[in-house]
This record gives sequence, structure tokens and C-alpha cells, in this order.
Amino acid sequence: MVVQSEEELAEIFLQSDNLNYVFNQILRAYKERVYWLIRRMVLTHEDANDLTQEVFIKIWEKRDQFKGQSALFTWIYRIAVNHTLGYLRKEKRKAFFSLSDPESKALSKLEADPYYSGDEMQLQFQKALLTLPEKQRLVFQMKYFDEMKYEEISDVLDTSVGSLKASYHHATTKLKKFLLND
Amino acid sequence: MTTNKNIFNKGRNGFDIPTNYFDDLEQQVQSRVSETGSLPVQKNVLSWVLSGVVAATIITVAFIAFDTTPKDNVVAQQEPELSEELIEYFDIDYYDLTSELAEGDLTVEETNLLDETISDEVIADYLEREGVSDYDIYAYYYQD
Repeated sequence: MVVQSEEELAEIFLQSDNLNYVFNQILRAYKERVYWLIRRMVLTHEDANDLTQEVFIKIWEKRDQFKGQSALFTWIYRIAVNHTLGYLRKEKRKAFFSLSDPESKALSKLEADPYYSGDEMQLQFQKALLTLPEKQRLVFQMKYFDEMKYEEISDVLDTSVGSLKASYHHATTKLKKFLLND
Repeated sequence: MTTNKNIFNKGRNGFDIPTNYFDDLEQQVQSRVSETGSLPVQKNVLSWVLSGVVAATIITVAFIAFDTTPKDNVVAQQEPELSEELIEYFDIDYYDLTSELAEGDLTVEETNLLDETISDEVIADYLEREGVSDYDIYAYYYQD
């Protein structure tokens, strides 16, 4: 049996039959999108790899909670987003206690990452992105990199389209300001 | 070390990944899920029941052995617990709100526009309903 569409996948996932097979299909279909969503938020490959694995384990553990009320993709993205935000908050708290600046720490980690080969301009862009609050950064990444529609982001983040537009606008304004001044 | 260089101009931005990374990722996840004992590993009902009984016995014995709390003070010593809902609320929304405000470049009105769910009334309502003091939230927030 070859599963082709997200709808088919969601339907089979709901039926709870042959879960092993369906989970592997889901993993295959979404691993890259989930990884890149996370990687752009946490920056290093090592962290992104750990978190991506944890997200898929969560998807497996929470499989009973998928009721088909939202698209399968939305449900998966929501888990990935919440898990990543949780990780970033923990990192922020650790930085608070070590009296270090979380953004500088993230940049140092990125520069030391063997799987990062960004040039000066790309590094500046990452610096600019790190100046945004997490949720605003997330909205920017989903809109700009993932090219998601506001309606899709709205479903994932449970935030109104109007707020997302405002958030994206603020993000781009701040990024422009940072990049022009730096 | 071999890497897959920028395939998507917009998407990669200098981020590389190991060769065949996504195949390896798939295998690692499948293996970790299997280790949880809930995917391909087949266990019969009896073994589940027996392992459950053993675990429950160990936990009970451990509780009896290590519980030194004076029994007449149990109720008085209970701390207000933060509900899952509240933890989630403060972890995500309250923090975002305060971090954006702390940046100083958003007014309260703008922040409310960005996240319509936030208002002082909502926060106060939560605190009152949950019987949680500011100190509890501070303590929760800065624990680690």
C-alpha cells in the first residue's frame, strides 16, 4: 500500500490500524520539514537533531490525541513548535543563572557547529533573527522560510491571522533596522 | 567530514547537515521508538501485567520506606501546585509578553495586538482561580 496524500495518512492514523507502518510514513513525510523548522530556531545541527528525534517520539506517544480536527501537518507542527519553544525557554533560564547573554551563547554555538558554513552576511542575518522575541522569530521563519500561509500558521500557533500579520510586520521592520544599522 | 551544501538558497543560509542525515534520522527515531516498547516490540499481556505488579510493589515499598512526613501535618504542608494549564500559560504567553515589553520597542497596545489572549485581567483571573501567589510563579519560573 502506498500512502500519497496527507488526508489519506491522517485517515489511516486515526483508524489505529497498522500504526507501525503509518508512523514510519509520517516520519518519512515530515522529517525534513520538522528538522528545518527546529534547526532554524535552535541553529545547531546537534540540538536540532536531538529535538527532532524527541518530537517524533512525542508524536508517537501522543498519537491517541490526534482526532483529525486539524490537519495532520498542523498537529505535527504544533508539537514541534511547542517542544522547541520549551527548549529555548530552558536555555534562556540557564543563561539567566549563568549571567550570560543567551543570544551570544547561541551565536557562539552556531559558529562552533561543524555543520554551519554561513558567510559573514548569513551570520549577520542570524544575529538579526536572534534579536527577535521567540514567537516573533517563529512567525517570521514560518512565513519567510517555510512559505506557510497565515491561515496555516494561525492553526499551528493558535493565534489570529491579524496578530500574525502584525507580528510578521514587526519582525521584518526590526530585521531591516538591525541589518541597516549594523 | 562530508556535508550536503546549500540546496535551497532561501532555506539553508549556511546550515549544513551530515551526508544521508535524514535516512539516519529515520532509523534513529524508529530505534528509539522501539526501545519504548510500544512500537514493533511485541509483549504478551501476562508480561505487561507482571511487570506492572513488580513496578507497583517497588514504588509502594519505596514510599513506605522513605516517607518521613508527620502524618498529622500532611494537609498543612501541601503547597499550591501550578496546574498544567497555568504552567503552559505562563511559560509561553506571559514570557513572550514580558520579553517583548522588556525590549522597550513595543507598547502595551502593540503587544496586546500581537497576542490577543494576554491581558492583566486574564492573568489575575488565573492567579485567583489557582490560588497561586506571585512568589510561586517567580519560584517556578526561575527554578532549574
